[in-house]
Amino acid sequence: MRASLSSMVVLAVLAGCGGEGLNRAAGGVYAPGLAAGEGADPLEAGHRMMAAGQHELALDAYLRAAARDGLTVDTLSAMGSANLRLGRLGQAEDLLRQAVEADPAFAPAWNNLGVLLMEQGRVGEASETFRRAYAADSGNSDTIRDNLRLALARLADPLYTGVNETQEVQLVGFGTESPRPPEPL
Amino acid sequence: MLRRTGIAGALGLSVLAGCGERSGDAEVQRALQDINVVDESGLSDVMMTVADPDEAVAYFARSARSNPDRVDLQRGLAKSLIRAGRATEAVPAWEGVIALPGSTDEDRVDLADALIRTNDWAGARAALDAVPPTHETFERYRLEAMVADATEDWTRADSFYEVAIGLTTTPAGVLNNWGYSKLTRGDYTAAERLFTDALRHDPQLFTAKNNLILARGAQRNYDLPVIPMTQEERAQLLYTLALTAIKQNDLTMGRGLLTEAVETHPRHFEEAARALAAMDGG
Repeated sequence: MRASLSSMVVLAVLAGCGGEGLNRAAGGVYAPGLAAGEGADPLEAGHRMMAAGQHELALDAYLRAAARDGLTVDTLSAMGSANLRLGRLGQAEDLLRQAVEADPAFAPAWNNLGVLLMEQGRVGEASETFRRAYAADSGNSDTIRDNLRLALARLADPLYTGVNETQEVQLVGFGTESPRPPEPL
Repeated sequence: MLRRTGIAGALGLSVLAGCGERSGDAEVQRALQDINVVDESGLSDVMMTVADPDEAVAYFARSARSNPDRVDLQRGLAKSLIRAGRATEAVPAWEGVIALPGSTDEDRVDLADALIRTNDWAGARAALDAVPPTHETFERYRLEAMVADATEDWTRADSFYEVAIGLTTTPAGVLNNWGYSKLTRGDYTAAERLFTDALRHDPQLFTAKNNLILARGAQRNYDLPVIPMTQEERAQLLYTLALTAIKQNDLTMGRGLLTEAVETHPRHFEEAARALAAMDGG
């Protein structure tokens, strides 16, 4: 028993040296390696997870996208929004602020930062943020316009306590946003 | 048993070592250096944000001394000095940053900020004039407006305040500054409007509340406006209003407001009580 254990250790260590390693051809005792061909786009997969309400899995997918593409405005904004959905407001704010700094013309990041600020009750800053989102989007998004309108209404009423809360601000992005109107012919 | 596995493990390791021929001391050193840079920049971030300011000053002073040509460490030192409230020392630190080759326009703006903190308005103006006009940031226009205020160049100040407000998502502080500038000029209604705007953007900003009271008091309007405030703030604002009234020789009104301030405060309100006693005695 002892001899077999130590020889197994040596074998396992030696296996690291071999060219094929565990990825040998099927038919042996080893499991086959990963299937050939391209995997799904992690960013797209993340958007679908968000749409399905699986925010934790979406965050994982976005992290994979960030590992592939680097911290671009898309991945930063997507990770921020997933964190926001999970209720991790501090982390989400950090990521979204990085996103709007990386590309001030990216409307979803501005909008989602605004949603976060509304959650925290910082209505003044939220209204300015929605204003920037609306400008970055050239006023094409109904959701952002509604968000801006709500923020401005809240701002005009400083004693608002949220008792009769009927409306809430909406996130955009994740491919769910209504498409831009087609270019005129 | 343990010894045998140990021997086998050692054998395996020595076999494995044969795999990579290139592992040398130099490579290890290089890899460790990279790790140190990453560690260091992470530590710098911590020191700049959450660490105790004095500790940050000590950290950056030590690192800057060992790497005198690293501009980020010098910048960290200067910023930490500002955070620690040591503006007099921060001025030469910022001048040191600007002398280095990697410095940016942002650093010149920060130098102007440090100069304003030491009350050197002429120096701040010179520092801002050295910034090229293409560097259009919120911080720059905020400081330009303050410098213009100091020289009582009101038209310049107004235009700078307006630009600064357009460049930020949190304009409460600048609106408050602008209002104070209007208050200094004696334009009380405009000041009142600007302070109200500031409070709309940040309802917690006590300075703006106090200034709003000053602006209203200067117009002999001795009612408290409808703004969100705590009980303690309410007492403080009543006290400010009372002092404004007394300065304008509305003594009866002042006495009434002082009494109200003392009664409103949830604890003993030392200053107001003393002022009231002085009025009754004299």
